[in-house]
Amino acid sequence: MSLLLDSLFFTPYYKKDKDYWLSLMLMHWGFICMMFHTAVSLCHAVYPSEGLRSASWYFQAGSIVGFMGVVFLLWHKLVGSRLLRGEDYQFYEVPRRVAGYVLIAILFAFGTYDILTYRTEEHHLTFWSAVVYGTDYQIPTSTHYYYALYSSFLFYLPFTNWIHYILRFFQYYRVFWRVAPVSDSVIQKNLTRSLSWRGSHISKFTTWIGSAEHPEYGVRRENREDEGVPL
Amino acid sequence: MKMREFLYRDGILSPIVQSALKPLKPYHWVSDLPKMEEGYLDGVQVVEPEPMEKQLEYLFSICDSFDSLTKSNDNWTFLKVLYHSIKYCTQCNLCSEFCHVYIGSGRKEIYRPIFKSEILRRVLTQQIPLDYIIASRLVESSYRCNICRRCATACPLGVDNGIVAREIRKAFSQGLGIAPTALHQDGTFKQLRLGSTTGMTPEAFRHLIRFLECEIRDRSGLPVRIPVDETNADILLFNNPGEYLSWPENIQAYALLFHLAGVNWTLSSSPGGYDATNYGVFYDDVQLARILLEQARTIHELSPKKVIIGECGHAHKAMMVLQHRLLPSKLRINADSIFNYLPDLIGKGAIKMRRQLSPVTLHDPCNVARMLGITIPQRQMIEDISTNFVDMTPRGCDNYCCGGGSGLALLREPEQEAFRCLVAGRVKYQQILDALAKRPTSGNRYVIAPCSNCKSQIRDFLSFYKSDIKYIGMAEYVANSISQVEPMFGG
Repeated sequence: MSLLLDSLFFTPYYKKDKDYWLSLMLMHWGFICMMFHTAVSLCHAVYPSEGLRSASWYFQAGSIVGFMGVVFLLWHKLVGSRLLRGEDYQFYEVPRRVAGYVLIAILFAFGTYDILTYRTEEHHLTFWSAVVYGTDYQIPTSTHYYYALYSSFLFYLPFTNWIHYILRFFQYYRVFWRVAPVSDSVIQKNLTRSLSWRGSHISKFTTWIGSAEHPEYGVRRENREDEGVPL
Repeated sequence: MKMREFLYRDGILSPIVQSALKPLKPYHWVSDLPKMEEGYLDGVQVVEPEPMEKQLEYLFSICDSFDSLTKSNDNWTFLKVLYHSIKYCTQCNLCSEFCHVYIGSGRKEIYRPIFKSEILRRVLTQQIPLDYIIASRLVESSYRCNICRRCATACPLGVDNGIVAREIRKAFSQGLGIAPTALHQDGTFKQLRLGSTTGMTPEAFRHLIRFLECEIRDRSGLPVRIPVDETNADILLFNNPGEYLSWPENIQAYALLFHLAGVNWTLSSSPGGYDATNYGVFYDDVQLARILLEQARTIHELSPKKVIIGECGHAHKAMMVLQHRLLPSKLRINADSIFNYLPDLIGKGAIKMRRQLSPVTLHDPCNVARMLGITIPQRQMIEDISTNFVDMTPRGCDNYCCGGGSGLALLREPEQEAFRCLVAGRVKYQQILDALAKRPTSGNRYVIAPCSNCKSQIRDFLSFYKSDIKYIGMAEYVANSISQVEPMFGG
């Protein structure tokens, strides 16, 4: 249960760095709202109802929340850490990762623009209805861009740290607390693997077991020169 | 500032390791350079190697090592954890405030847990080109980490920067034969050649034990025996040889306790049987496996019902965790910790104990507490025999490393000692002071250091800071509470 809460509310971050936690929470809950928005819109296309329609409207707010989060996160990493604590987190950022954040920010920006400009959920519902029934649809250009980015991101989602963070819920005990000994067959397989390390104490061996068992390095008593040396 | 520019600044690393990082064999151009032969592999006096062909040849060797680090055949032991840690770190820096070296250094960038990991990540992903300076600073920074893995407990994603440091060490050792002399030539190789990292031969060990047996009989007035090489004993005590040579009272205390409790126990004097250390744990998988295999075979020859790992943190890791991943089941040892066994023994009431009045605090070795989670039994035992026990904050699995972990306590160069006391051990010393400040006294104040490595490090920084606090092993502290004999083991 605590792992589930951690995954949803990022509690470990809250305990250690509240600024960072706030930005993470806003950004990720922005995504969660976006996905709920998609799910609700799809449901509305199949079973139209007033409740789903208004839910769809509220979940659109995820874009605004997410936009605030990602901007705060970028600020925190690139500027805020130095201003607030004198620590240079920017030092550890690489252009590729910053570019990822910027793309996410653009996605949320389109969503935010969409809400603030059109102030309706109608064209989103039309879009998802068209997706379900294969009918023609008319939506604003900015919403097109929004959905293009959003669909790309859905493909990318399985490769993000967030999914890794959630998957740990299923893998936690396997990764950290796998106390059961490894089976003999696995160990035998591993020991017969070939190795290509070039260190002088290894390079002459071709397998792990050969390296570990060689008398020169796995000294048996009968091979020892120093045994029995009197004081 | 870009990381590459930062790495190239002069003076970011002080000359601390120096001769500890001598190349172990003539390696390409390294051995041709006088300054290299003096042992410079740190970042301060980097000399551009010449000619360029040799430099390139050397760099290719380093690249091959990193390549091997990422192959499942070459690194089936830790590839999963390394991959996980390299791939999933988000640079949130939550781990920094959990690192005693980072805090102890006054929060210097090079000691941040993710610093070395980030260099390795960028090298592996080819975001910074590998050259001599980068390689030198990478290996140097890996020996500025205690691999206590406290940072890993702080990471919400489970990234383990301690393992990254260990894998960097491994790449240089297994790939190029570069590792601190104290760990490699004078450590694992000596152990495989002579039977012990201390250079103590089996014959010397037997002589020493006979001497210690006579002495404890004289001091206690009891017919205490220290059995050696007895087959089918209930327990085989597998101890760190540092205890026999530097703190012989430790084994005497165990002998006294086991005698009074009527335990059927033994020591082994076979090579591999009287030295529980395995420095391969710190830097090299192959050496780790060789020593583990040697120890397992020797122990099986004596057929004890159970092996009790003495006061040595990394021996716990090797014998209680890693053996289950490296050895086939027929070679595995039924091992338990002295931290479980001794409290059980005292708890049975076979030995009459009296309570001690001196203020005392307890240090938790990282490999026992954080790795195995053994934190309660020893605490309860000490609370039972002391009226003045005070715990450190934080403690148990969150305890700070002493600063000598991962073999750093073995590197005896003056610069290295200064680093251990001034930087790595600073937080632990502060913890001890804070804990014992709650119990002012005019008498002795003790810190129990139940691990040879920790004991050595705590001894060094208590002396460095000219402290009047005394350190003592767990067995000695408990044996001082035996009501039948006068306290005989000093701190």
